[in-house]
Amino acid sequence: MKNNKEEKRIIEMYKSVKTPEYKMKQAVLSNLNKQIAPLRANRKILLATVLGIILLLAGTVGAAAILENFKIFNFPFQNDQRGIIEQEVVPEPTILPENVAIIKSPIESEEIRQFLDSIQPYEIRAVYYMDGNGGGSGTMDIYHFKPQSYTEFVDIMSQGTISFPMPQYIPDGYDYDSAVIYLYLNESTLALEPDITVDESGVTRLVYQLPEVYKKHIGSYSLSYKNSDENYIKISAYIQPAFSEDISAGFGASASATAEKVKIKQFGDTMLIYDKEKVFKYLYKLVLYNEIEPIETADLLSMVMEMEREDEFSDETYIETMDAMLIAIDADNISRKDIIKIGENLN
Amino acid sequence: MKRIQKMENTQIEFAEGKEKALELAIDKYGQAILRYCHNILCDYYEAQDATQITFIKAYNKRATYDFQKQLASWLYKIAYNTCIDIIRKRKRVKFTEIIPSQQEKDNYMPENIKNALMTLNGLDRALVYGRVMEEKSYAELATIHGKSEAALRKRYERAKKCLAAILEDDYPSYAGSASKSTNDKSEELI
Repeated sequence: MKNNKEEKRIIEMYKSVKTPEYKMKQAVLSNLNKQIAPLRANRKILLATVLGIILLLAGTVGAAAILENFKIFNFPFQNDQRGIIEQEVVPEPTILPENVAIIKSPIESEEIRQFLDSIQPYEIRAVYYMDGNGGGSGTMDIYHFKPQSYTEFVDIMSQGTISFPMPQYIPDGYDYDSAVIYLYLNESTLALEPDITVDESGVTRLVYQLPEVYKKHIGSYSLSYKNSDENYIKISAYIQPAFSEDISAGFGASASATAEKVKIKQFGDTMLIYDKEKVFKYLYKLVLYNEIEPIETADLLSMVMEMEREDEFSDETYIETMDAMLIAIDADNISRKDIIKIGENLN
Repeated sequence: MKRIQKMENTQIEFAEGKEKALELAIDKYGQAILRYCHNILCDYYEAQDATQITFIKAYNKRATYDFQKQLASWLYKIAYNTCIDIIRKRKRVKFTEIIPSQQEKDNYMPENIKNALMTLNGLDRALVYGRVMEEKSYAELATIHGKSEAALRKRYERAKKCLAAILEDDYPSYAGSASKSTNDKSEELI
């Protein structure tokens, strides 16, 4: 095979990977006789609690404490048939395992919060705690930027592969308050070796340093404005790979909330939720979706997203699916006209 | 001709479940499959496990092996699927190595190469390694991965460009030495 320049470069890279030989035949035959697969898990300390479960639990408990019941507004993702499906939800009483309080306590300490808050660019910080009974829990702050100014926010966003819509109109009296920019991460990130410190109480702190190649992987942002009365407007936008037509996105709301379909020129039909009780803090929430072509930028990010599509769909169908840009605008003291105007002026 | 005949015999004997044929297959393909798994998983010790599991699965499922087809392709197909299973498990178990041992830290893969390779997904890592280092044809890759030759060609071209660009941008030492000759032995698969 005649190698081109790119292949020669890759061959050089592979040549610096040395794979030592080992007594494979003996190991295979020995395990074959025992008929036990030689999983490496035996050599490791497996500490496996998915962080999302704790977050989900916390969210459910919180919602149940506030509401006797609530509803979910589903918005099917089909350009020509967007509609709103209302779904009443009566929360089941949540029975927590007895050890949850023990597990959660060190994770929620101020010291841990400070550790997570001190996250630096190109970092993931995580905390893990073992309770001594084989149980454990964890929490982490995903790598992000926290720009100090709107100018810095725009500057970082401009380095991303994907062009996100940005607000061109904000009502008078509101100024930039804060923003967070998140990267789109995948399993390769979590395969990185973290720096680890363990304290006497069993709390393990992990810091992952990301390679700089991730700087283009901007996957979402959240941008907040405030006025002098501390009223807020928040705009959140994120990409969702493999967002098929069959999937709808659900947004939780209080029982008193209503939702209507509103046409916004560049987005078509969108969903506007109104909650006069402000149970979830917002008065209005405008939900916008846009199908986007699967990210095919010949960029690293397209590879990452392609893997997500493959995980979601079979080989036969994943290439047919679309990616989506999802945007939510919410505010606690704004007119209907103004929130729609913000949506119309996203660009 | 003699070698071809010998290999054909191995394939038939393997299908018949002769343990000696398994040993011969490990001798022939074991190290190459270990390297293949190492470069997909980017973890030497997981690659050891993947290789062992590959041969154990192959032996246990020998009844499904069509001895008229290449034994190598069949073993690589099992190895690839085993690696993908391991990668998927990683996604479910986020923190598996809280306190890695010294042995586990020695991964036999420079950290910068691991970072570069891990920007590709499992299939792309397998494709690039299979194509560049083992010079597999698209027809054989299609057998291993169960996808069309055209789709794999497209994926390979894109993955190759992506990896080469990363090496050039972030690890110029590899880009700079791309044209140098080395005395390293080729990792050609038998």
